[in-house]
Amino acid sequence: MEPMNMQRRDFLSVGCGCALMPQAAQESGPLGAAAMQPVGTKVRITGVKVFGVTLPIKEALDRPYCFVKLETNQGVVGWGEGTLEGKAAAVLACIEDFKEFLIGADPMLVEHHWQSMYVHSFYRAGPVIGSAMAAIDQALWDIRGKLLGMPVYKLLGGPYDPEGVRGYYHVRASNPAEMREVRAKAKELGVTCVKSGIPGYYEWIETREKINRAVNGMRTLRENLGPEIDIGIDFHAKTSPAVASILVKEVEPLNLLFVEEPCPPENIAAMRKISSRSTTPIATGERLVAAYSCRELVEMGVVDIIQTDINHVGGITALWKVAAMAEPSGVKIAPHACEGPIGALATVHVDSAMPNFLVQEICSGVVAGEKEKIWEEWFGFPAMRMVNGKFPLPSKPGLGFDLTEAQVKKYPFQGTKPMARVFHADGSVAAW
Amino acid sequence: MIIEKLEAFPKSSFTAVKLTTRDGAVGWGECLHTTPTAIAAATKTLVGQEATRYEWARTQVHGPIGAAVNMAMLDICGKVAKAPVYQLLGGPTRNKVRALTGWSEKALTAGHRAFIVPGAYTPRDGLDFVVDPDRKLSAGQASSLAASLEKSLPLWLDEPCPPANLGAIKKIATESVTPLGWGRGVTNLSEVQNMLREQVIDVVRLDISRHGISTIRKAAALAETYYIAVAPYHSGGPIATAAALHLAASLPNFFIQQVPLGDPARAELVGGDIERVKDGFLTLPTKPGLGIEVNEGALRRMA
Repeated sequence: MEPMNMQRRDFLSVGCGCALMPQAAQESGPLGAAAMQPVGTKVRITGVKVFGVTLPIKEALDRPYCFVKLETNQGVVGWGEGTLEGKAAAVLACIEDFKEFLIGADPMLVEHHWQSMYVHSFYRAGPVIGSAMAAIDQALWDIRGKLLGMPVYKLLGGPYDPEGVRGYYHVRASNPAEMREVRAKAKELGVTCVKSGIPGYYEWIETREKINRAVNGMRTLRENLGPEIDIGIDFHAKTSPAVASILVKEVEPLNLLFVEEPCPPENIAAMRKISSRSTTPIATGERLVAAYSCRELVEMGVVDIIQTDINHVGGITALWKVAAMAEPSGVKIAPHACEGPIGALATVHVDSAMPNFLVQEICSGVVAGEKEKIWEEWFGFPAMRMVNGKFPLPSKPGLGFDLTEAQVKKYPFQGTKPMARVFHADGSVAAW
Repeated sequence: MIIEKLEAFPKSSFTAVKLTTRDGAVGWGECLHTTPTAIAAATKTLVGQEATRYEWARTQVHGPIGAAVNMAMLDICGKVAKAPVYQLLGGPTRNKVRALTGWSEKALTAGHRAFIVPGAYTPRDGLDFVVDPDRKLSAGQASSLAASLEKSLPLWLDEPCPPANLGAIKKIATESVTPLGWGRGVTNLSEVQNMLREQVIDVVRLDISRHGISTIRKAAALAETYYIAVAPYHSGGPIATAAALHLAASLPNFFIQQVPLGDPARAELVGGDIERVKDGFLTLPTKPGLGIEVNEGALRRMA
């Protein structure tokens, strides 16, 4: 940042008479740019580069990272992520589609660009457009923070907690001994929360045996992790409202922090049926795009926790709005993060400025794996690893990291791979 | 950017608040009347805190003084970043701000094109009107007025009765298509959520001097999901006008900003005629922070 400080005054303070108005007439830029010139800056987006990044790790093959790098005429660059599991090529192409909105535009107009990408896409946004917008939005905020000389969380009004952002890891334990190991390791690291799932696939109505197996699994986890650690259980929308209602009620004595996605996300009334029949807090939202999609969940009092994912909901701008619109109703935010490190790090900035923040996910275990080694190799610090149970806040301006094209090109794109495709014993399609 | 000092300047129509950091950065804000107790409590909360923590402060500093503190913290952040406050908040979404003021021939001459009137009026080409009975009606009377106004096409009918009972005001929204504005006296944003859910509100009218920039931004994010506009209420001083302009710039669902009619005394207070209106629009500030230079001497002299 130091070399830029002298220039900053020039290109950010538009009132200084830096001949911006005369420039307006000559400048071409994208549609709509000229009108915003009098209140914008001299910074212009000069390049939009997309990168598909496939890590050579089994668990990452279905989710090649979709990164975007925005370049500017001031030499400042911004990185963003729009990784959409199972649909990598579509998102990379969708980011390319938005080039016409961006080349020659002022990167400081992030809300304006967000509105333009959403409204001018006519269909508003589903997961592909939402993820492409997310990548661009994060990169714009990265640039904004760098130009203003502040980490993004400070621009957003943070830190709420100066010590960082409380997080949780996933439990990958199949028996009580492994669970007790997780408990010991979590205690050693100061980790206060973990998440697990329920085994197998579920039919529309379930047998006594399957229900007992799921309930016993959750009970065993609570017994072996002990009472101090908060536990979330992810149903992953593989249960129907009928099955989920029974499970959620059965596990009330376990005092779970939440049950996640007890049924698929499209039918809010179905989810309300589940949540209204139990005291177990319900969380959902990782598949939702834009704050609009959370309106009914909040309004109808369906959930206690919203889990929108910065890489799909539409970036920093959209995740901030979800938190803002949930706050008056006392709904907490626990963002999903199961893709690459840029989106995860961007989420921590937004979390840090949320009064209604609950806890931040990262799809990692209490012990770091291969993926985390690559992240550390990229950034030079252990990205998304907690210290005393919290993700530390970056101190550098923008999103708080440096990354080169060469570093990400080391793991070239191996094409789109579908997410897990599973079937019931009778051959019918199952959810996992 | 650590806050060292909070000074309050209670005036007849508003209270100005000045925050100073250890390294000498100064931020100004403004709110409705506040009390010595609230000022002392805010001082105790804020001294020693980093000026960027305006979201944390929003949950710690209660009452109208929270609005002034929010503006002042953002003013400091903008000055430190050497950028207008709207650049911290996601950048401008518009290049000028539509203005609304109380009806007078003087205001018309000054360039205003949208006016607040207390009751029924005669429409005039090129001018727009908001009808504001200032809560003096019952819900039933308000409902009759809303229906009778339909053919005049006012921008909206504002706070015709106290919005205490959603069941009662629902009747107004049901019986007429005249848009309704509410919100100046709201003490908790859950009231706005309830109005949105009950579909009784078309214009969110939180008060810049009671709610501040960040709280109105939160309400705007909520209102956006209902496709509802924001048009902040404002009857205070010119510091709040500056804050309202930055807020307006940042909101995609902003429609119009109420603003008291500018005069030389108000302009002197903030070092510029920021309330000047041209053909119905206010100009966005472009200098760092709130973009004003508060004249402390003039402020002290003011009643």
